[in-house]
Amino acid sequence: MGEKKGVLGYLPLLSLRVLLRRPGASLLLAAVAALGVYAGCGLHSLVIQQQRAIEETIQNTVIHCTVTDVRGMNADNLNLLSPYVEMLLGRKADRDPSLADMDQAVANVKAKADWELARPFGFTLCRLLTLASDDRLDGAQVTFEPGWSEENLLWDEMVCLVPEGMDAGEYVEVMMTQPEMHASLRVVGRISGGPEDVIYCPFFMPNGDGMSHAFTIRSCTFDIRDTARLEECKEKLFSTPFFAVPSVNATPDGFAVGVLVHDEVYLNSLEELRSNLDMLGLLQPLLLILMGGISFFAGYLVNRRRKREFAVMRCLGMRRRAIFGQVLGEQLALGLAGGALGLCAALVTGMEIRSGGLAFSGAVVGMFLLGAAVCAAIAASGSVMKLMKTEE
Amino acid sequence: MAILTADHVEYTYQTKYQTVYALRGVDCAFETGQMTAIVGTSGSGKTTLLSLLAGLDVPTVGSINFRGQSTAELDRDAWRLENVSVIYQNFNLFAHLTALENAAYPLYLQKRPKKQAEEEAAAQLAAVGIRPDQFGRYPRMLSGGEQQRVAIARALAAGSGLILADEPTGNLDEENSRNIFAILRDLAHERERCVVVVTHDMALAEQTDRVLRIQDGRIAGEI
Amino acid sequence: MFHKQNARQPLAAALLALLLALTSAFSCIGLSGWASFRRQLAALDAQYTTVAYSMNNRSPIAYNYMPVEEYEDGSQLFLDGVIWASPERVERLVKNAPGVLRRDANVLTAAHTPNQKGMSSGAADPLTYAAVYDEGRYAQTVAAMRCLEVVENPNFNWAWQEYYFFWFEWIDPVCRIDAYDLPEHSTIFMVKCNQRMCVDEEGNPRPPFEEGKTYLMRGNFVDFDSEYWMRRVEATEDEPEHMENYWYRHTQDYVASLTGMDPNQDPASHRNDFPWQEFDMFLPLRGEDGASLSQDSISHPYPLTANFYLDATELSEENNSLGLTWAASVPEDSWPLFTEYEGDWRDFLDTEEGRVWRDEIIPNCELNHNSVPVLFTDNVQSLSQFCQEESALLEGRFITQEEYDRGDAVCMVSADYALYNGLQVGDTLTLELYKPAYATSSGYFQMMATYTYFYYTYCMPLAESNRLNITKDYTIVGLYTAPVRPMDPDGHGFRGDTVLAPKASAPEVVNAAEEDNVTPLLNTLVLKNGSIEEFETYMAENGAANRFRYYDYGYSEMKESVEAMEDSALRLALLGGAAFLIGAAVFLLASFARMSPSARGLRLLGASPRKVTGEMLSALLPLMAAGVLAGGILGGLLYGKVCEAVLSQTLAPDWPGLAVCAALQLAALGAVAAVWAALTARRGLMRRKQE
Repeated sequence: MGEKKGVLGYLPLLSLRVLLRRPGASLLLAAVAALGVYAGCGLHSLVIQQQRAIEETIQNTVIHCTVTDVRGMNADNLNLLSPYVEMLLGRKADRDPSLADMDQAVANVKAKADWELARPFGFTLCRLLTLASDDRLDGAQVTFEPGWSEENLLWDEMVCLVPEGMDAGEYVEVMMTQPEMHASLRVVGRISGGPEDVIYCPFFMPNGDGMSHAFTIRSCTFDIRDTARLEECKEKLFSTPFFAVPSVNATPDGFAVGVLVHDEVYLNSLEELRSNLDMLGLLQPLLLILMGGISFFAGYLVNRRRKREFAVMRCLGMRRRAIFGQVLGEQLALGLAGGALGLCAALVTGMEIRSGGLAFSGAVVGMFLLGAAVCAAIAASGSVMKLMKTEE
Repeated sequence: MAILTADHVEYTYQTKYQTVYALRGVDCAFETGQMTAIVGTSGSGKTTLLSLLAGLDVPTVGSINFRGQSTAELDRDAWRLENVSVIYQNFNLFAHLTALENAAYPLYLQKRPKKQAEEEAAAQLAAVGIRPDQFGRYPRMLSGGEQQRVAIARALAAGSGLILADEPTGNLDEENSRNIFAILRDLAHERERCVVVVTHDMALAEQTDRVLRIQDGRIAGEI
Repeated sequence: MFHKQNARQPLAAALLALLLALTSAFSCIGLSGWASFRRQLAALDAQYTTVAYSMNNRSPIAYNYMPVEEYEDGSQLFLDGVIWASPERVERLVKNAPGVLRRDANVLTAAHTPNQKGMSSGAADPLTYAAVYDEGRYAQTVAAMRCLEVVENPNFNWAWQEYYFFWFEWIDPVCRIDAYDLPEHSTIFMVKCNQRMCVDEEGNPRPPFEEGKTYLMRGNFVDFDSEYWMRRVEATEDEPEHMENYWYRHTQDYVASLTGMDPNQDPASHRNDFPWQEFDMFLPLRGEDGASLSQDSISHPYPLTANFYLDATELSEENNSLGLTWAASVPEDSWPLFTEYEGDWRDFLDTEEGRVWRDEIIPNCELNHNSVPVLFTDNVQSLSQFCQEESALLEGRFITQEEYDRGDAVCMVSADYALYNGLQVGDTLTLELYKPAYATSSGYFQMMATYTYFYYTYCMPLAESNRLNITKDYTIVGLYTAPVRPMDPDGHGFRGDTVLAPKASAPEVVNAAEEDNVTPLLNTLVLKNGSIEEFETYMAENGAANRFRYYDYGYSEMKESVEAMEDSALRLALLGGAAFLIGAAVFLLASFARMSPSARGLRLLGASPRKVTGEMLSALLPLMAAGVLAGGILGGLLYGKVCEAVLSQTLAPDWPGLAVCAALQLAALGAVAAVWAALTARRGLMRRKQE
């Protein structure tokens, strides 16, 4: 009998080597662990991916709105007064506090008003908010003079954009027939590829008398600024006395206008996507509980075959604790190997590994270990005498 | 000198269908350097007695004493590890360990370094007649006699003073049986071990120093 | 033997069955998830309609932009390498293009609405002309007029010009739609006539009207300025009123050439058609301040076809003083364009000569006044105006796919039409159906100084010969906002009072429709969602680039989510499958480990391998069946609970599907078990040393 003893001895290593000598069972158990980890990480990752995709969708989707009359009609024939556009731009808070921060709810307001000009003859003066407000400018090239940009159209400068081909100097003298207005507009940019007979000026440009008058526009559209806060934005919009949800039975009183929010398809889809996400979220723990159960039974049933082996160990004087430890160690090794495999599979298949997923996988592998441990505990605690009598 | 004694040992256990009175008051003693055979018919309680002697359990009534100390008071796992080796009829080798690893297993359990344990095991294997080229074989690659020798080598390697064998030749042919018995007798006589063998083969039993006959859970006599 | 083993070791058997049950439940849930997600994807897919609209249907040919080559199919190659693909080429390519789900062949017709009033422009807003409501059927009018003066056109200089101007005085409207404003009594109109009405059989000038006489006249009457350039009538200093309001009567050959109508096809149809004549009443609409609101008027042709047929006899130019090459005549059974009467027109209607006016012409006028265009479609949302958000759902809902499929008598009407007729969602609209009769036209739309090409489709007047004698009650399920324009450069526009209904709800109308691959409004190309790029690439590669405009209701924004869902669905299915494979392997391994010693024992006792296999299977099968069944039920119930919590209609456990899944699992398990059992039973009985 030698006196020299190691701390752990060779036995743990031997039991690991033995795992390789039982490839079928080991592989099966490792596969269970791998599947558990893959399921844990994978399901969690799917939830994350889906969540992100929905967020992306919400971010990418633009909800268009059309201003109509209160009955939802005449979107192109509104006789809408320009102050309504100012309200949408959030500039009329002094008039009604409910209009404050309106620009936080809406964006990309498109409105324009065309006026026939007596001079230059044959031209139209188009007041516009942004270049996108006029379809005629689709595909047109606008070259601004240095120091000027599209931004300036939003303010009340006496400036204009003229067609490339127009014979204009630094200033253009315009004269409108109705309302009567005479003004000298500074040319700040030229348009090529657009209409040849339209002069563009800022939407809120004052008339020749230096004062801003309300004027009529035919149609107006805008977008919801933040699709993620759609309901909030809509609430903001409709909380004002000036904008209403259109209804056929509404009575036009000339005060409120209707706003059609084109969000039906979006909302329906979002509902479907959200329910899918909820579903995935609920399936995740359910499937993981089942996976835990499978792991438990797999661990238990595979080790149950080794009852006699455990009994011999007991006979040889191995303590229950030691047997338990050894089985747990073996299963842990298999669990780790399988888990690593599952993790690799998850990574290879594009899953995103997050702490939540790892926690789930850990729980599943834990169940697997528990199954093996319960089996080992039962085997180790049973009467050795009975065990030794078992022929199996 | 008796190192192991059974004093008024009774053992009952409950199966699903009945209460089994396996031992009904056994008194006996075993000495170092002596090989004792316990004989009896099937179900007479000889294996139960051996298992109790091995400390796999404690008697329902009475006691098993090792060097005067009751096994009920001992840390039986540690005691078995240090002092008892059991040899079974069906060898009970670990199927996935080689002959050498099986023989070295008790030494591994004692946390001996691998090399030291295997040298020792190899010596014991050689002592019971296993060829070095068989050391690396798994039990299923060995004959019954060879497997039992490996089991004996395992018992020897453990260095136990007490070697208990339950029908060690039950699965072996006559020649192998004789050889195994010879090995066990040598162990008792030359290595000063206390060897107890359970058998129903009277011919083999007669090769031992002492034969105890057990019947219906009692010692029916000493031959 | 093995049954006993199960009975004697119930814990082990139960554990095995439980393992299988969990495995089966997992895979059932995985597969249910997969199936549900697929259903959800389909539902999501159905939310979206990806459509391709043909555009640039006309060659970009211009005076300074001429093709250098013309292909056989009519396509043209221009100097800068641009190819304009002819509709024929596009038509051919579309048939093989990738991503095309179907061509929605809409059917346009008009229906008589016995309980509703037809909606003309003036009905929507008396102060504003809205081309979107303007249909020739509503403008049909019979009026009593007196001819004041016949004047030769002093500027006549070519064959197709008016030779005479006729000045008429308005006496009474005899039959006219309510919506139009009445001209005041004694309003003076100028009526122009095409030469063909003003020639005798030899082709020499002869005016059809005589000064001082009274006439019943029929034609199209509208109370708005329909032709922008004709509004600028020079008023004479002494007769300014005459020139402000006048009735313009003329003939227009080009309408016939545009509509391509052949009156010979249906001999009776010309009775209902208006001849080459038109009543255009130029009453510039006045706003509250008296200012003209007619500035957005557009060129608006009417459904005119001739019943002044060109004579087969060619006239030589020398033969007539006007230089006409064709003579014109009126078929015998035509309804008269005008009839001279004396005294009160009411008395005239009671005479034999007035009978045709009273019993035929006026009732037909009224029938047309109470009519509505109906567009039978397979998908309202594939219509251009809806895609472009020009039209939108205002109240109620869209027609569902099931309703399209079943052909339910449901419809959507425009909010304006509903308001005008006091209709609401849920009300019934009775439609008396007529065979499809429509025409397409094109022209230039003038807004300010800009001319835009347009192309549009309109319904022909209802005619007795087109009546189908089918009356159906349609339930209104939704109100939509009327489109802004009835026309666009690509011809996809429809009228603002159009009733939209499922095609399958009126098979008689659909069957009567002729296949029309030309009219854009009636042909919407529906693409698979997400296949726009693929489709356009194919078209471009085959020389038909930029011939389609695409809309997908924002599907492209949704794409990432859809892909994530597809991914989830696939992974759930794979996980379910993998769980089943592994669980089943553990089950079989553990089961056969239990059974193989006994199997050997049985064999040693002399049982044949077949019997042992059978016994093993008979012990295993109930265990497997119990496990799989329990798993299927467990999976279904758990999944059902989850679905309930999610509250989505498309998500629900598919019990038949689960049953099939469980059955397949059992079958697969049984097959593997049978092989495994057979191998176990056939294992050699000799125990050999394995060297």
